[in-house]
Amino acid sequence: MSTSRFTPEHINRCWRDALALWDVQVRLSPPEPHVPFQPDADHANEPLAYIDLAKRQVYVHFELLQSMGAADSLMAVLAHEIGHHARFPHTLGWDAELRVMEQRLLPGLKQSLTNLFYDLQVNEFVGRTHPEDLCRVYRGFQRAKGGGEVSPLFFFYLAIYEELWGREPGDLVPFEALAPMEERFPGLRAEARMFAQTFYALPHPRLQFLYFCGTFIRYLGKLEETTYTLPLGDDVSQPDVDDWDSALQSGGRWEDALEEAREKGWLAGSHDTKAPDALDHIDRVTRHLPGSGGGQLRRALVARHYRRLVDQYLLKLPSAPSKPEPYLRTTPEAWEYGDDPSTIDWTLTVLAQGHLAAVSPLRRELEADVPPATELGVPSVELYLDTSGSMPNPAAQLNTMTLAAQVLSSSALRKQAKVRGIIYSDSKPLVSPWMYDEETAREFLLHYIGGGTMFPFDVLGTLSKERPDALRVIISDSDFLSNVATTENVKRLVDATRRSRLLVAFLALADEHHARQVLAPVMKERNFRLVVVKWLSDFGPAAAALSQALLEK
Amino acid sequence: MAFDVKNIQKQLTDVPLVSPYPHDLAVAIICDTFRLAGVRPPSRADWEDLERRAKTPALWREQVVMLAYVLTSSTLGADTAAMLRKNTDSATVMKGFFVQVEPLTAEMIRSNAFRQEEFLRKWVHAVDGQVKDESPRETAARLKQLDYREALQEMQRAEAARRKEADKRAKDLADAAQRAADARGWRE
Repeated sequence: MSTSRFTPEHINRCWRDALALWDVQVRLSPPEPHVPFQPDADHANEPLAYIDLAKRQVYVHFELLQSMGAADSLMAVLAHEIGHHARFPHTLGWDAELRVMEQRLLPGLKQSLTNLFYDLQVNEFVGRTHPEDLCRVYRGFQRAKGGGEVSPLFFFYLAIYEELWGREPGDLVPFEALAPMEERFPGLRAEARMFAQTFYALPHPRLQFLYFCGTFIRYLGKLEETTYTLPLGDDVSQPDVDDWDSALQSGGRWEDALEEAREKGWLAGSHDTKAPDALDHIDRVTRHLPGSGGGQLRRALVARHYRRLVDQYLLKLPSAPSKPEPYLRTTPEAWEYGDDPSTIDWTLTVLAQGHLAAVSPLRRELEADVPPATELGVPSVELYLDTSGSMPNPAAQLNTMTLAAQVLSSSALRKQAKVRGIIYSDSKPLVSPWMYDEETAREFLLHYIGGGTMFPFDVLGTLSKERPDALRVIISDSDFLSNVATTENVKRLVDATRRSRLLVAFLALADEHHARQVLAPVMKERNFRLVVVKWLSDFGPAAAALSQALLEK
Repeated sequence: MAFDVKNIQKQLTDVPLVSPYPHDLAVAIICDTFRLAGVRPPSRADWEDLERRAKTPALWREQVVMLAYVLTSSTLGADTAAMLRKNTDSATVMKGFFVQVEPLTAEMIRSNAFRQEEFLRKWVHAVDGQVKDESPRETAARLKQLDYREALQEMQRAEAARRKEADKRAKDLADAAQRAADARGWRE
């Protein structure tokens, strides 16, 4: 790098000018040089500049900027990055909202187009005063890449800038590609012109985004394979789980914009604009995220979805204030020199000490009246959850048995009980340790096995010996009756019931009478209860009623 | 002397967006602009003829109202009065102008800076004026770039191609949805 070009003074001057361009109060650290991710590889593959919206830090690859022949564009590049912080997208919550809508309109899209969308917005603003600086970057990028074929997406994107900034066709896009691209995509130039003259006049960013998606889809090719590398095209951070979660709840805010987009013909009939099922939506937005983080993110989002479902059934108990005001007086003690004089209770002292009051005062302090724990009787709860293949994976589709387990677990944990989960299907059940918080329990109870059904009587036996006073709930369907239908298994169930505070079979059954026949030996036990729901959809409310009956009364 | 289009646009950003004039008053304002230039305004019969020629009379009325509004809300009216040639045929000017701006709605002129510039430039073109700091060639190039009517015609090619591509895309989207459903798959 020729260090003479990018002196600290020059960088500072450009930074000040870039900040002044946006004319808003922003708190960003001055730009730092980008440290190449792969120092030995060609630096043309490194990012030119990007902003970490969480750390509020801009990074610039000065060497690349210079080699692209765009050293004079530093101010515009910095202004571009500041624009992401100041206006577009400004918050990662908004970014997440757009990504969620994007997957609704373009399901399976491999690489998000939101960064491209923000770049169009930012560059229009920066380009009002510095169009040539930005053009230099886009031309330099193509030179640095060594020519070659330009993707239709990039071609159309650059054609928009040519139209926006009144450039001749071929000023930014490769001249030799003009005719072939027009032949491949008839009307491309007219579309770029129309886009440039319409997009920026739309009154709301939601409408802008729908128009953007509806127009750009033509140039994407196969959604599941589309990737792109553009200068400044991947310079915004990724949203976090909170951003994603709130974005998934934002569907209602888009309905008006979607309606308008449909009326204007931006969205073709092939666009499925109906709000997908929540879990399907989670799957769509996480499936194509790079790296192994997608799995964790998906689990976290699914857990939050189930928490919301659970909260629909469980009334939130008013909790005592965490730090009650101190107002109870303690018993009197002798006041000594060095103690706080304001703690002396003179009335009590005079009454108690008489004329010696001034010699040996008594002190009393105020303390908080902590309410006594009222739920001392809540037992430990063991939940046996059937996750055989007759029920869907809870991460992919609502699994009402899982929901029932979540309701019971949350309800017990809110009563200061502890919970253990046993997820079973045909073999090797998953057994959790005792869990004391809802988050851990929720995560565990979302596990799924998905095979045949064999109730783990051996685990039940072992755990009932280990913890005899626990409340045990078995959540299953008619498969449980098949499992229990042997003499040996009935005996094991009876033994476990005798060792439990209560054993509840919480089953989805069409015929309760048959269940009573199969479970007749255990029905005689004082500690056994049979709870039947006819429809799977009844599991949630029935679990709430059950938890109230078992844990609150 | 020439029309300062940028300055006129700037003036228009400082006034309320919606034209307060009813149609008859708007017609009177436009006629007054011609009278101020010493040109005979379009007659009642000319106006009726203009309305009859319009593809969408309601849209034409919007354009009349918007024209009156931009003439009075900026220096466009005064500039027009100053620059119109005495031998101008006002009915021909109006006829040419309304043909040129045919697809522009009042909403477009209000909210889209490109369409507003196009509306103004087409008026300048209709009254045979010049744009400040531009050669006639540059003015013609800019007008061509802004021509919404032409863009719509060219867009028909794009739309036709899009429709062809839409079927393939619909199939791709359906395939993607199917793959997603398969990935979720559970037996029942």
